[in-house]
Amino acid sequence: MNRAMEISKIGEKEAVAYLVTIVIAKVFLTYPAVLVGYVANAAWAVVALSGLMTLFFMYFVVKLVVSFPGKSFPQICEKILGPYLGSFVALLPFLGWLIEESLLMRNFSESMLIVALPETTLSIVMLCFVGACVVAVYLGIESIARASYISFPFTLVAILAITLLSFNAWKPQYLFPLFGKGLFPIVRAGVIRSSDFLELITIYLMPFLFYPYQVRKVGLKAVMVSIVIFLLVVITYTMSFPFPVSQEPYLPLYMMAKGVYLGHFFQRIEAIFLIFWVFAGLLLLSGGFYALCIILSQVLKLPDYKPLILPLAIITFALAFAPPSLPDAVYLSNYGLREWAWFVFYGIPIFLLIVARLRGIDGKNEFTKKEN
Amino acid sequence: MAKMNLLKKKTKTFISLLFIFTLMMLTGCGSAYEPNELSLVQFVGIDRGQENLLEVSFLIAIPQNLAGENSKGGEGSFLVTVSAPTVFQALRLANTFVGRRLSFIHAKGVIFSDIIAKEGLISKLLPTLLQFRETRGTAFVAITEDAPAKLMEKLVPLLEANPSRYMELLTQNYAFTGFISSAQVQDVYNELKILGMDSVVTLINLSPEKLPEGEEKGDYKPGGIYTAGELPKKGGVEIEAIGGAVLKDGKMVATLNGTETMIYNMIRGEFNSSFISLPVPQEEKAVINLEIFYARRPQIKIKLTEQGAVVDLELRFEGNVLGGGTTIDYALSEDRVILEEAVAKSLKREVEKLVAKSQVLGSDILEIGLNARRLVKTVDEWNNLNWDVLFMNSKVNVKVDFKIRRTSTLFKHAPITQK
Repeated sequence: MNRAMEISKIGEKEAVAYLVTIVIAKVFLTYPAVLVGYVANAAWAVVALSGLMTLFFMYFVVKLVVSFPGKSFPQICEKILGPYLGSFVALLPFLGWLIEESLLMRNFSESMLIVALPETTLSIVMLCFVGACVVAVYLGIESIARASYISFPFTLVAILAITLLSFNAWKPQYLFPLFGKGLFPIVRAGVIRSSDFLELITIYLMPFLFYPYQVRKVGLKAVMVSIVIFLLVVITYTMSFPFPVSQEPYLPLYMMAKGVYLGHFFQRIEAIFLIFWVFAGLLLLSGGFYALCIILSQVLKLPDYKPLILPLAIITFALAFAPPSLPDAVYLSNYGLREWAWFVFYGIPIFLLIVARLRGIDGKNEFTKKEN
Repeated sequence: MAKMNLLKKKTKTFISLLFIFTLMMLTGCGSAYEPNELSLVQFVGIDRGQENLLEVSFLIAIPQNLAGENSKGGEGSFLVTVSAPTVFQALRLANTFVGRRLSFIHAKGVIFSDIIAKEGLISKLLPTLLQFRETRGTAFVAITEDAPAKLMEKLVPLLEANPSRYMELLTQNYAFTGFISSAQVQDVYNELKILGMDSVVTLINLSPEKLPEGEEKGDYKPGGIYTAGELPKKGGVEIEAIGGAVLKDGKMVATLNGTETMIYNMIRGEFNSSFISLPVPQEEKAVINLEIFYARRPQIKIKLTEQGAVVDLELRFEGNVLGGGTTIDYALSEDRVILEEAVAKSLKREVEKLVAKSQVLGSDILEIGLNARRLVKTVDEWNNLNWDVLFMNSKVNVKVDFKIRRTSTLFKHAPITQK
């Protein structure tokens, strides 16, 4: 058994805080503007629909984890599909996650250049992100999860402050026409943007983190809290900037923060934004990076994930430079990857459950027998 | 065991070094500027150029003159004007003679000349300004019928040394005068890009600093009949900020006087309070003063009929009687109702005039289109509605209600005795 699997377990609160943090970190990036691009004023409907879709997919994710207690994701794949096909399927999310991690790193670093460090070399900013991630991953998932738990209230307050204090700019009429670009685009975006909750697949990629009896509750809570936060951000953003202006910025929440003006002494709160934005970004990147190391070490059946940290850091760093520009990175991340990623990432547990049923494999009974 | 300890020690050293390195890198070495390395631009003025496309003026703060008790108006800033093809080239060129790097991080406003505004260049210049990371959407926008450089030269506040603070206060005065627009860079930008909304931006002109001479006796004129540059006044800062410039698709198409701008604010829900005066209904040549507030936010309801759009516009105000050239006791219900009706009628007339003016201009400055968006379900339906034409031909039913709630500090008004 992999060493990380033996020692790593996080409690319910830490698990929810960690999952919600890595899901909602994208509100600090282009996420609200991307949704507006799909359906105009009806971005709120996409959040609601994609949230419901995620709940549907979470049923299968949780079922897979609960059906094979104590098993890692590659072990589940191998058990159901055999060693070769199993390893191949286990590597699919790894590859997708690796690309996503690289694009996220690029987006966060480039965004730093837009708002705070315009004359700093991109590689220096990215090195800082990579360096911090490497340290966090060395310290392990408990440290990342606890940091998420401690920072979560502060991140939440920062998001609340930015969204609610922009009330001067709100015009509820901007929410109309209520169905934006129409019902079909809403349904389409609702399905494909369920990939905005994709970070929740951590539950089946690293099932050993959670106590089996908590998985269902953790998944449900994480989805619900994320939906509420997404809705808050998207609705206040839509009321602050009308369509088509709302689809323009790279950093919608930053623009909202810049617009806060409550008299001479209360303005320029984007400095607060910057701190929590970087912190949430680091937690997301560290969590993702940890998952990369763990999955690869488990597929390769290595006893420890730590030797993989530096090589994977270098690969992620190099891949992040693949998009020639920031618009390319944003496009690849938000459209190129996320438009099909939901199908693969949520499809894998469904596929595994179907094959397991067809082949009559029941991980629980086997586990129970061995335990007995 | 010893090997393990050595490894742990090495790891700790590595992490410590990495931590120190990260801290050093995060100080923003590549993008850091000390305050004394920057020239903080307070206002940007943009005019049509003669030598090049634009003439761009920057009012730059002199920080050491802004602080302290002995700082005086006029010493807190200096003006530079550069002929350049774009605003950013002007920034660059200005730094050929201003030592410190010019920065917009504290820019409070952008002032366009009316020539630029009438040519529709605002729709090209404003988006590029807002795209720049240093510009804030909360900066105010104004149009001047004078040269922006000349206007900015006269921005010499008397009560504070900082022109930026002066302008910040001046542009917030709409809250209690209603005479100027609250439009900021982001608002104008939004309205440039969405169908069914146009902007009114504040008009600021140089003051002629002249009062009429002679023996003629003046007649009653409401305070809001003036536009910037027409106000008979002398003393104070030599500028006037009253009235607004109407934009249609980013082009300045008309001006509004003070009263029209107040009505514009009232219909858009941006009115706060204001003193108004009007002839006393029961007494010839007497003028009464009131302070008015919203009783309720403006209600705009739109119906689409076969004849076109029908708009029901309802405004409700309440007020405080401040008295004037009469001793009629408005605390008593009989006279109070007469005054209430007179105020409501006067406001209704002004609202109808402004609605008609905006319909003739084809500029939906009153946010009626914004409210009409509820009528449709999708963006395509809205785009196909052709709101501009519908608005110009719409029937607008105006209803204004006014109620006197207070009579300031007096419960009763005893008549002045004839001795």
